[in-house]
Amino acid sequence: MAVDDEHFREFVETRYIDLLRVAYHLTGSTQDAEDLVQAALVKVMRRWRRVDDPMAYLRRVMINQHISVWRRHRMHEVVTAFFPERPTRDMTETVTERRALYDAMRALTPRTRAVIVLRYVVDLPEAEVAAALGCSVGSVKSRASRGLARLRLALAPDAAPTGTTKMTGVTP
Amino acid sequence: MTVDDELSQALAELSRTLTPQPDPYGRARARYRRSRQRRFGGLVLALVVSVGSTAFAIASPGRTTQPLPADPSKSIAPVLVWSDRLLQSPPRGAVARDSSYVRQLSEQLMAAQRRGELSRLTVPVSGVKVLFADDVDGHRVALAAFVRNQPDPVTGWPSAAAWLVADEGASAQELASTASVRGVSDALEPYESLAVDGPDDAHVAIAPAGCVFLSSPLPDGDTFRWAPEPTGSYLVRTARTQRPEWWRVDCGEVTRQITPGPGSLASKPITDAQLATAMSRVRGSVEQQRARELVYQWAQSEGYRLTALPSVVWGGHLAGLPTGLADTSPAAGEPSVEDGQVTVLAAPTVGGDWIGEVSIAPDEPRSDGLLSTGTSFTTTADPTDPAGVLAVSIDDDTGGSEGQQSLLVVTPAAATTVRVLRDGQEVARSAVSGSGTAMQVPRPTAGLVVEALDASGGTIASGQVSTQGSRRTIETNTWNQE
Repeated sequence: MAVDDEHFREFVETRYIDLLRVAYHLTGSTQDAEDLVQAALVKVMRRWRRVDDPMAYLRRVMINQHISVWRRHRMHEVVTAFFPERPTRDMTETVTERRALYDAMRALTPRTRAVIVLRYVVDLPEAEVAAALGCSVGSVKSRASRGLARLRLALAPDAAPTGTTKMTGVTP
Repeated sequence: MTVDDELSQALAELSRTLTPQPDPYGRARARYRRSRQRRFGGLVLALVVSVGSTAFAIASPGRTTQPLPADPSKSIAPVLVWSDRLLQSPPRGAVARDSSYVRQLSEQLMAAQRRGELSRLTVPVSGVKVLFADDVDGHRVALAAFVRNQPDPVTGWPSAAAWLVADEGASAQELASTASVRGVSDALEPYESLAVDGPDDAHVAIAPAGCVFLSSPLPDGDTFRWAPEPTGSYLVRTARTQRPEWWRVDCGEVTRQITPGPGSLASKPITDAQLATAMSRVRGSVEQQRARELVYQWAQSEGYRLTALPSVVWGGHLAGLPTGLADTSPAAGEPSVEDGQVTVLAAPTVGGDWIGEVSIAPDEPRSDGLLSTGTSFTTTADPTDPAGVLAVSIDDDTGGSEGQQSLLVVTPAAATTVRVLRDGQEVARSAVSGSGTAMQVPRPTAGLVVEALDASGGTIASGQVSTQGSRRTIETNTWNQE
């Protein structure tokens, strides 16, 4: 196998959780996130020695795969029956807000969600987000603007205009 | 704390307790070994090559930074020229006519940036320029450019941008506070826009001075009726003035941008009458509440790319639907096929084509909570015609590769059988129930002819397999061209 095993092992052990977080925010489920990261790792193993920036490469692989899957087999993850990462016993406001944010993230289209994840979870500059997504910076910005507007309603529900209905899968 | 920071923190909190399954390295190695044991098809190779080639554009030897942003295949220089034209433009908007206010706002923003209060704008800047300031729908809105001392060493962008939103009439100090900062952007682009307080509320868009905004009511087909905006090089829409429309930006003789305006034909939950219209040509069986939700959600998602509310084309329960997605395995313990309720929607689009969406609600929710999946398609023929045939690929259509392709076929009510031909030879056949069937056909789907046969074996309708995905050919962005 054309892989520097020790280096690759060290990379996986130290950065796996970071990749998993990105994948989790993309997919909305721990199981899908694990699957997405593992699939991406298999891809990078094939060319490990030639990849200068594995994190950037893996993020791009995960996003491309996630979006290409969506494009052809579009997901409506928003219709989740439960909130997988949190117990239901705690009914505090914080949990409610988390739930609202989770739902709002799931309501974004995968491409908009990818913009939000790269921008606000990974903290990448817009240019790198655009490079990772293969789109223009303008597209990143418009998606970020609309995505942020939606997520802001989840973060501050009081800001929701009268009559606003939380919808699913609606951000272009 | 800015909204950006608040969101970052909230998302971090959302995944704070995430814990990997044991031995991620071992599992990756095992998966790699399994993948080598299988003979991967053309799709996998194509995807790896595609992804890899793009990635190596970033990670080529001797390069330590990411490439320039906008479109890796094109030069960014023209975009920078237009960005600079926006930067050099006079401030637009009614409030911006108050030069004292603009100066105060610039100074306040400069001071806030130097105090490090703008977490995404920490590099030294030589100046702040207010490009827009106005009161919009109860908000005071401004766009400010932050001119870096040096262009960003990674991206090359000379200026960053920030939209600010506060209450109408806010002072310069209030508007410059971190709580007012929305959407800090690494790059001041030639075209900037903001959804002020929600996707259904006010919007502002701005282009360099000298360019003109035009808008057109939602066209029927591809015939726009463009009219210049009275504000010239910027555009404002409030909740009151929003309408179904498209926007266009012309600079000189060149159209630089065409984009659907914000909103959709389903700005509110659809009415019973709208639902009745949507269901008027439906084939098969669709539960009304599900149809109502799907029509609403999809109309919102597509926005004003659609020229009419979606119609429900077909619904029915099908067995043996594929769960495996391209280049991914079903999650552990998940079956590769499932039964589910399928609903097909379609709507005419700007440009004249029809686009559609197939939604699949599996009978058994997946372990990850996923309750619905689907795919989209494009076709030139009206898929709502009850006398026509609609054929849609419902798993990944890999074009020229070999193997079997899952197809959903919707037929006229009288059809009992679907026959698929290539070059006049039958390659697949399936019984029809309730005007629909899911069947396997040999790839590629291009060139296949799908025929609906009645009980006597006569052909009552025929068609071709729809194109997978939804084409968006009208939308334009040419800022990166000379």
